Amino acid sequence: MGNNQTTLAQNFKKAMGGKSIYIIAIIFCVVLAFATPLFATQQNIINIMLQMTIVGIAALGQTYVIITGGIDLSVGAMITFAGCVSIDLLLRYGMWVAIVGTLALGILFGFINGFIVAKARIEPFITTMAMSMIIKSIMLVYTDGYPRYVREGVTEANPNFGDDFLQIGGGKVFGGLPVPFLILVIAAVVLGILLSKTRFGRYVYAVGGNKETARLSGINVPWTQIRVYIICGLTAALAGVVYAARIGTAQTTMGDGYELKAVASVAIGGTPLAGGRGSIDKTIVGALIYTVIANGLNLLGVSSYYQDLATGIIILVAVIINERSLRKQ
Amino acid sequence: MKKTIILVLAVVMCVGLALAGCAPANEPAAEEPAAEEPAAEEPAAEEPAAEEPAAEESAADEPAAGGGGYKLGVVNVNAVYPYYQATLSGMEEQAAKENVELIILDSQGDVGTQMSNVENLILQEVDLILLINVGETDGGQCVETANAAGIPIFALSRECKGSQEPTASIVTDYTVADGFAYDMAEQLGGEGKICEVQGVLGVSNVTLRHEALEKVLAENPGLELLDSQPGDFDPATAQAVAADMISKYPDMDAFYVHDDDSSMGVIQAVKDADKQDSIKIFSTGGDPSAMAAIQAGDLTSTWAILTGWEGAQSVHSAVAYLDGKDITKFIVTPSLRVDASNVEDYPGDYCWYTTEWEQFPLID
Repeated sequence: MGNNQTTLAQNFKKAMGGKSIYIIAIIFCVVLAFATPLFATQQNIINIMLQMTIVGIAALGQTYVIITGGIDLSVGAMITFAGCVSIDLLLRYGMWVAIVGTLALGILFGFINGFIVAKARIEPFITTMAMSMIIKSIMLVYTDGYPRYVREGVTEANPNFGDDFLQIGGGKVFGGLPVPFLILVIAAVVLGILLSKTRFGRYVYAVGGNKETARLSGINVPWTQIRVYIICGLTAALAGVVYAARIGTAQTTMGDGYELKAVASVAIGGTPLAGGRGSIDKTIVGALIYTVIANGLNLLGVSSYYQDLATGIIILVAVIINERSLRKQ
Repeated sequence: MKKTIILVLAVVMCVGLALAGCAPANEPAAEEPAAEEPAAEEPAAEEPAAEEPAAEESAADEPAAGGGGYKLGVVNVNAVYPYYQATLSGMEEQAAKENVELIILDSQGDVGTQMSNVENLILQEVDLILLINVGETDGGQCVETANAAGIPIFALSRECKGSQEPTASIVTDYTVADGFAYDMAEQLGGEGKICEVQGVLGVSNVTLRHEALEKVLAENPGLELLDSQPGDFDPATAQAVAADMISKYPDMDAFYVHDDDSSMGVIQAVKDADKQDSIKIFSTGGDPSAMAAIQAGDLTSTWAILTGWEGAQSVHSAVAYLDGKDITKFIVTPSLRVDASNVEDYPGDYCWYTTEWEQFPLID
């Protein structure tokens, strides 16, 4: 009997090896479900799906960058820029130009970031921080400091202007699944497969593990770095489009702080800032935990004065548990 | 041993959540309003801009039954700004009087969080939402979401532009920005060289204050705008910006500063340049620190906004609406000039925290 128990425990540990972040997420949800009856309701689950979308999408690209040992601090500025540009293009040319044009700009900014980091060998922290300032300035010039909102385009002839664009942020499909969450899932699946099942994905891990070894192995390190920053720019732009569609407006401070929220989600998911390991699925769980904390504290009626304190402690404990588990593995 | 540590950490995490759940709900107790009675004489300012009640508009669609006992959801723009804390204090004071429960959530200045907060309040089945909007174009979707859920929503502090109107608005819109700018022009006698220290570029109240200044400049050819730079609502940034302006324009006459926090930095820059006698500083807000600066002779005037009154009015209007009464659907929060001539009438945090103004009674 004792041996059976030991075997069962060992099998469980083996099965859950490196997956403690999932257990932590489950513990959070179970505790909150008992703490407040509102937490496990269908409406709140939909709310959580919606609320994790922006950070989740932004964190996908950030995961790639961090695995290579870099960091992208221009994500917040890019989200803002994408939000403002997408609504501006929507008002001028319609939805598809808005989406494609904005994503193209995200790719461009990502390429510039990657090119400077890889070719000029400037620290990612400095490069992307400077790029963040540049993007913010371009945006202020572009918008003249004025917010843009989707319903500006409503006229008597076109009273439903923007409805299609707003569906990206607020629509539902398949009997209630929020469209932005579906976008997050699709992006996560695509980027997850790219990272875990392709040669490029292996290059990303190799560059993060040791650049010199990667180079000696024949990997084109600069091009790999450029591509991960392009992915990060693309996901930041996508997050900005979804964000603008969710709130129906864009103003010049809307993305402030999202770069750190994205980094936090990646870190909670167990990706070390030194790079070399990490995965998309764990980043999604990290974004989920980040969102569930805020959602749960609100539902519990915790004062906003205490919320950051509670959030900080919970994140630290979660990361410590996860990190210890990974080291043990 | 490691298992034990992990177990302990897991327990700590759960206890942390549990403790968080036990933490005081909503905001800490409001500061007590100043005890002094409002001054009997009229302040040296224009009349408040509150509109007359719109009698023709009936506000009651499907109010909850019974008077009092309502649950109001409050979405605060950012808990770090004392100005909005004063609004919340006014709400809490009035809520205690009218037997109303408040659930206060903080958007931390983030539009996405604001939207999430509205969703969370709908989930909690509040009777009405009081939204202190991040920016005047940022609440449109919140209004649509609340309307779709059948929950009335009031816009506070700034308007909500969008395809649907909020149920009511109690705001410090362009009339307050105009009041501030025209008052400065009046005090300068329509002549002078001005430097503007703005807040955060792109934020709607900053845009309104700048537009008000442009309007005043167009109407007063004797006034000249020398320079305009963002101070980011931050005293240190404002001090640096103001110091540069003083160096660049030594013959300037006045600073037009977008908030009282920034004014503290501007005051320091003026003192450092030893220009207290030649440069006037006009500010807006009604911050207790501004009152002290006026008393000390460092600040020429502040255009005080009665933010505590706004909070009290919002709860008063909300209860009336839920009781099925007709309410005034658009109210502009009163504001007034405080300078050396009347600062003694409005000491300390009086302008922000006092909700019982003789000259500005709550509007039905």
